[in-house]
Formats: sequence, structure tokens, C-alpha cells
Amino acid sequence: MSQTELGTYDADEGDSDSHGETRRCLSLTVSGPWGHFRHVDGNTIKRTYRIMPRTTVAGLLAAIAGYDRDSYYDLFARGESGIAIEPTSEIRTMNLPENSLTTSGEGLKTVNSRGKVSITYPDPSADRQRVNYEVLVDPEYRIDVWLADGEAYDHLKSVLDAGKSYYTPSLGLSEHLAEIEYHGEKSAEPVAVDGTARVDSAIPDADGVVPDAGVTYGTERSPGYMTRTSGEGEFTGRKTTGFLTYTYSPECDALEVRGVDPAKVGDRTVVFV
Amino acid sequence: MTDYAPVENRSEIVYLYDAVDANPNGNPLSGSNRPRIDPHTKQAVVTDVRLKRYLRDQLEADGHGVYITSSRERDENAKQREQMIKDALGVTDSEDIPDDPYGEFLANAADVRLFGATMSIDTSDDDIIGKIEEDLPDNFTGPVQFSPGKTLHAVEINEEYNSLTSVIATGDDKEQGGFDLDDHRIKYGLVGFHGLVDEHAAENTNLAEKDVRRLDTLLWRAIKNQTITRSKVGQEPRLYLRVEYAEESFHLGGLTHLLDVAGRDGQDESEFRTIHDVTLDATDLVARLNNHADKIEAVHVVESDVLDVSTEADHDSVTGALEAELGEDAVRSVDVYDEYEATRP
Repeated sequence: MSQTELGTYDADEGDSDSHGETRRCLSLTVSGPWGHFRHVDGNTIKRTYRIMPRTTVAGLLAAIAGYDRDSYYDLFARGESGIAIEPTSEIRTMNLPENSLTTSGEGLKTVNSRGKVSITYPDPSADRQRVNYEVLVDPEYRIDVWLADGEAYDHLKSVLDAGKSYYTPSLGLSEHLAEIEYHGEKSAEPVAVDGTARVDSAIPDADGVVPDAGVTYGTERSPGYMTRTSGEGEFTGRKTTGFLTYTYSPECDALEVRGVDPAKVGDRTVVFV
Repeated sequence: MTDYAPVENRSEIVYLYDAVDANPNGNPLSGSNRPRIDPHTKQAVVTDVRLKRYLRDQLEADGHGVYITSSRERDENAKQREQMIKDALGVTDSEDIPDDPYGEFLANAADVRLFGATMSIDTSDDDIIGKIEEDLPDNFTGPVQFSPGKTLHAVEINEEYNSLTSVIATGDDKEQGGFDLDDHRIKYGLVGFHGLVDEHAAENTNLAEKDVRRLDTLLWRAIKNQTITRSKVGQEPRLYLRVEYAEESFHLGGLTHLLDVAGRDGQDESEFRTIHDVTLDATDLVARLNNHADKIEAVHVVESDVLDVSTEADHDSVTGALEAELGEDAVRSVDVYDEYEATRP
């Protein structure tokens, strides 16, 4: 998968996209005591991604801006937006099992009275099911974002500027309440790379990481892009259209890497995707 | 139709309670239900699910309709919920659909208005579904959210408790035998919860102003009244703050995490055994609220008289410090026992 290239941002023209020029981006830190970004292939143990997935970042920003569920995917589509994600506190997890009512088919109780309308709901008198959640402890991420849609960008900027959020922000699950620290608007200047580059953010789909003594690496593949669907069944509403493979340092070290187009945001080097 | 006064303002909740020689929240996957402890920081952890169970049980005890009832007994209430949904949606003809079926359901389920719930509708009848689908969510996202809580300090496990013997008959033809039961508790923990009331999400569940007012007495009374089983005895509410903001879409965030604790006589935090050993440092919290006083409509407070508080200006209570900084008009001391009567059904 190719990276999103930086282009110019022009509030009037909106979506011009010429490689190699400076863009404006918004920079914020999101943190909280807990986070859980549900891994798509977890079952009895709800595993979490270590790096906040790009789709989750999009959802968080949409919640802050006040966009409804399933209404904002085009805004954060490939080529229409760029997001860089940098873990800024050491990545640590613990297990937080919960007893919960199952919502799988056999655990649901159906009330079908005289008519054809049947409503299903978890049977509240049933035994609880033990669900093991792997959660992130004290997660913190620095996020830089640009949007090609000038109107949406300006709206998000004004909301962040005012220290507001339309819906209350959270880290993956609605109960994992998040704090937002806004660092203002920055310029993202493309960095010409000849060989390798040192990058602070998590690195999506890089050609190669140059191993460094004393640095540990993690890598994971998580959803990157979504689209709205109108089908029926469990996945009604949205589906993933693209995954990203992030390489990161659990200790938040900068990584030496090949095959990326990084940008300078302040004194940090990040990769937008 | 159901009429209600909707929530207009966002609120942020700081809630502290303590546990003396108790297991505030056992880990069901640990084998013997050991207290949840962060292995790195040694802080005890209490899930939001545990807190909401206390709150739902208290709502039920107060006579409110509760959708997610306890699994312990309550066959009766489970039926009541089923009846509730039948009443709301037991229709054979699209002409019979009540004006606001989900409004009526929500009016009967105080816990769903606060915390949300999962449910779904399954039908092939387009005529009926067409009429109700606008009201029809698969799940209600709760406008009131609590993060899982943590103690404000490292805790110690009480190892002396782990050799209880219980005599249990396992069947008519079985002999009785003694069983060694593991029973693990923490010696002391002051648990901090952080919560938010989202005024925009409130529209999804018809959360009313009076539901939020009810929280002001509910959290306090739930810990007082619902911590009644053996390992839960010994828990007391210590501080409740609901910061109600005046400006739409605004909240400060993370208020609970501004609190700190110190030992009164230079004690190390792992040596805390009762509330009398702890001084709560509210300096940063009071300062942050004061810095944003123009965005605060009111602070609703319940505070235990035995809570020892330190602040920069040497106020000995959080209430006193807030009154001095924000003005007495902006601080409302909640009278838990007078006010809860007024919000009962």
C-alpha cells in the first residue's frame, strides 16, 4: 500500500494535492488512564492494538467535531486526509476481565408477541459471561492530521481551538474516557530522504526498518480506511477498505527507516498516511 | 408520549470511595477472585462495570425500572422487563404502534437512560418496522460514562485472610466436607472514579435533567447501601463532585487525575489502613477549576466529614476551598438523604 503523499493545502481550493509542498496540519495529544482498540481477530480474549488504529483516530476526531456515526468515512479517505500517530508514553497492557451478558445469538432472548416484530435483548437473568479485555494502561498518542476538505478542517480546528468536543472523546471504548491537549496548527514540511530517515511516529508500510542496538520494535496490522455500506447483518453500516501495517517502538524511541516520505512537524519527524 | 426536561449541560464527575479490608473488585479470571491490582504500580483497580452494578442495584432498590437486572435472584424483575418491552412493542398492526415506543421503553428503564444497553429488532414486516425504525437503535450508547477506577495510591494485599474454611453440602447423598476457600482483600484503598455526562449523547436515551440530579445522591447511597456482601463490606463514599459546565461541548477532562494523596504523619502510602491515615491533596483540582471558573455553571458536592483535605489556601474541605475560589453561589452542597426522596418514582 502506498503512502499518502503530502500536497498543498489551500482553504479555497480544498483538495489540491501536489507532492513536495508544505501543508497545514492540526496537532494534538490524546491520553487517558485506559484504552482498548479491539483487535479484529480476538475472540475470548479481547486483544487490543498497541497503536491507535487510523480508523479509530478518524472516529475520535469525528466525535470531537460532532459528526454522526457512519457519516465521516469519506472525509478521512485515502488521499483526502493524512494522519500521523506517535505513541508518547511507554506502551503497557494489563488484563481487565469483565462479567458481561453475552450478545451472541444463543444468549439473546427474543420477545415475539402477537405481531411480527420481534425484539432481541440480552437475557438479564442469565449467568454472566467472562470476557477478558486486554487494555492499554495510561496510553498517550501525539496525533497530527490534515484534511483536504477545507471546511471540515476549519471546523475541526475551531472546535479544538476552543477546547471543546461535541461528543466526549474516548480511547476505543466509550468508558475509556480521554483527555485532549491541543498543540495548535503546525506546518508539515516534506523531508527529502536519501536512504534512511529517523522518524518519531509509528511507521506505516515501510520498506524496511534499520535495526538499532537497544531498540525494541513492534509491528501490527490494523484497519486504516473504512467506507459506509448499506448491506444487512452484523457489518451493516461500515466496512474496512484498507489495512495499514505499523512499525513502532514500545518505548517511544525514534526509528531509523527506509522507504518513507516523512514530514517535519515542529521539531518532530512523522509519516502521514 | 413521554415528556422530559432534557439535559442541557455537560458534567464531569469526580468520585472517591474507600475500601478497608475488602475486595473492592475481584478479578473473575484470577482463580480465587483476587483483587484487581495493576502489577506495575500496585494500584487496585475497580471496573466501571462493578460501579454500575452498585448503581443499578440502588436504582432498583429505590423503585426505578432497571433493564439490566442482577443475575442473583430477581426472576420477577426479568419478567417485568420482558413485559415492559411487550407493552412497548406488542403490536400486531402498524396502526397500534404507540407514538413513541422507545420513549416509553426508556421511560421505564432508568439504567438505560444513564448507561445505555444493547438490543436489536428483527423483523420482516416492513410496514411495522418502517414506522418504528427511526426510533430503533441496535444499541443505546450511554451518555453517562465512567472510566474504570484506580486507587490513588499503591495498595497492600491482606494475606491473613486466605484460609477460610467453609462447610458445603454438595448434594443429598454427599457427605459434608470442609473446603479451603481463598479470600483475598486489600488492606486499604482510596478509589478514584472519573465520569462524564455527555449532553449530546443524552438525546439518544432521553436522559433527563432529573436523572443527572439523581446521580448526585445515587453514587453516594449506592456505595453506602449496596456493599453488603462479605468481601464488599467496609466501603464508604468520601467525595463526590459534579462539575456542571456552562458552555456547550466544553469540559476540562481528567479532573480525578489531578487529585493526590499523602500520609498524615509521613506514612508511606502502602501503610494506609483507614481514611484517618490519608490526606487528600486537592490543590491542583481546585486551581484548575478556578482557572476555568467562567465556564462552570455549578459544582455539586458531597463530602465526608472525616475526609482530611489539603489545599493551597489551607482550606480543610474541598467544599470550603471551592466556595472560596468560585464563590458560594457556584457551589451546591447536596443533601443526599433529603434530595433522594424527591427523585424517587
